[in-house]
Amino acid sequence: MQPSSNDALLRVNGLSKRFEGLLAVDNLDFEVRPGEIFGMIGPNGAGKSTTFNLISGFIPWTTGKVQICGKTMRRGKPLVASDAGLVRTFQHGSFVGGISVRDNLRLGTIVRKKTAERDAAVVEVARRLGLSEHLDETTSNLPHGLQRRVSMAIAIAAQPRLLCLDEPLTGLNDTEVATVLTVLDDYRKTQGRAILLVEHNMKAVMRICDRIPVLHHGAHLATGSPEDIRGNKAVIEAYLGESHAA
Amino acid sequence: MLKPSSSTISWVVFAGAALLLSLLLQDLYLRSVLNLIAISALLAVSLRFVMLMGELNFAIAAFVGIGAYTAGYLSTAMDIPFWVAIPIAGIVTGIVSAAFGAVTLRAKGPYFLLIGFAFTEAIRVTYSKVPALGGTSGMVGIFPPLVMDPWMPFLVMATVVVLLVVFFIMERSDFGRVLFAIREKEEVARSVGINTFVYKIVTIAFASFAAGIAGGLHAFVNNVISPGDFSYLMAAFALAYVKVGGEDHFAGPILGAIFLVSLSAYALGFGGDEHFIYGGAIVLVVLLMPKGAVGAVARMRLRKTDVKGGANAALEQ
Repeated sequence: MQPSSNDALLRVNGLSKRFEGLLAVDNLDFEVRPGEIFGMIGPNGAGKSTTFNLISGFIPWTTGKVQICGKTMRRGKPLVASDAGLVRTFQHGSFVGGISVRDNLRLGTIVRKKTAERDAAVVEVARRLGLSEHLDETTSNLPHGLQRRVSMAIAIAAQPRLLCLDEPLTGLNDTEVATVLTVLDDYRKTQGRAILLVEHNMKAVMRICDRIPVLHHGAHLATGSPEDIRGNKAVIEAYLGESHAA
Repeated sequence: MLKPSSSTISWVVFAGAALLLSLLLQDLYLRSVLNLIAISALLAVSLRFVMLMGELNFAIAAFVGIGAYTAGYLSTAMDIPFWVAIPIAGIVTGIVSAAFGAVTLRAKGPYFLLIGFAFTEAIRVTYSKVPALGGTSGMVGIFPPLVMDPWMPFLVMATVVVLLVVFFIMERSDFGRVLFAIREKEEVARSVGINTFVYKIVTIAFASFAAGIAGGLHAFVNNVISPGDFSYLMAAFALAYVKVGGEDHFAGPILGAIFLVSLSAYALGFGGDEHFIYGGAIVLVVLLMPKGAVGAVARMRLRKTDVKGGANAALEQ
């Protein structure tokens, strides 16, 4: 896809996943560098979420090699991935519904913060994501948009070097999208961090991402800047069909 | 200075009253009922602690048995004093349960429950096959030092209170938060780097340490133990205490144990009909109060607030 750099936070080589007869991810190579937002896109079923599950260790890959912050990963080991610096969210909500927002955010701080520092870390991440006034509410009672932000806040509270967000903008209104994009922009600017994003909101992806890899039927179709991708015939064809690409 | 909350004050008063009662009671039968209530409450809280992470630990009966037999063997065969035998019983049980958990906690839900059930029955049969443990007759003559005898109810109650406080602190800490996360959505905890498997092992090990202490106390209070004391029924009774009292609150299993053990002691007076009364009470409570006694009280409070709120709203209109 791109020439390799030595300081990549994530390096993926020849990554494939086969579910019995279906090749869900087909020989992917890519890397995510410090300071960038890498926005993975593709039509439904392109293999984006499967790729997320593979690199974060939640499902084992069939073949390939994954390195996070220079450490070689073992297949199907999420703790090894998070120890190395990768924290992810899930497409269908990454929060515990039956407990308060405060307790949810606290989960994110447990591994990397000392007990005495956790309260302050929770308050800070809540402030950044506009959750301060909801800290003591039960998370399952919140509207969808706030729940999405709680999912993201848990991951951010863990302060990963590589923050992986699976469709963080789904169901958010324009104001909420703007808040989240500001938070993501700040996060990537923090020394040595990057964001890997899977998202269907094309307007937001084009606005915030530095590089966009496009997947189609599990394979790599193209990678480039938002401008490159917007004008790429193969990408338009994959999304809209041949007649639009012509 | 921090002002203690009303719930902390209630707990302190409740624990103080229980300790005072254990010192004041002179009637031998009532003392034995109080011991049984305290030990049962500890078992129910231990069972609920594992339920916080979504698992029903039917092996608890085996762990109580391991504690009781360890304490009994140390006391009768090796002459090890009571105050050393009890903690060793807890530690041995904790270690056995950690090994049990390391092997079995990869299974979940009904599978883990069935493994626990099978383990309990296998351990029960093992006692009856080992002559050094007294075989089917069990072990006799497990006595505390004579000087301790009048203090036994207080000692049992004090040990239980201390362990309950530790359970309470753990549940309200980040440890408890992780257990809730494991029960509802384990992958969230794993995604932020929490080693949920270690948490599960520590949970079952501490719960079983307490169950082992309960078993040791049971052995010294009853002076006699036999394999039949530690069948799966003990786990079923502990579950009844949790469900009748209400599993959503820490007080639930304690109230359930107080109610059901007292009822069982009272029902003994009905001779052969005691089981009808006991079983009937469990069925009624579970049907009428699906969230247990604590849940029913919370619902009544909520209704009262709603009525007040509704009346105020009507007045304002």
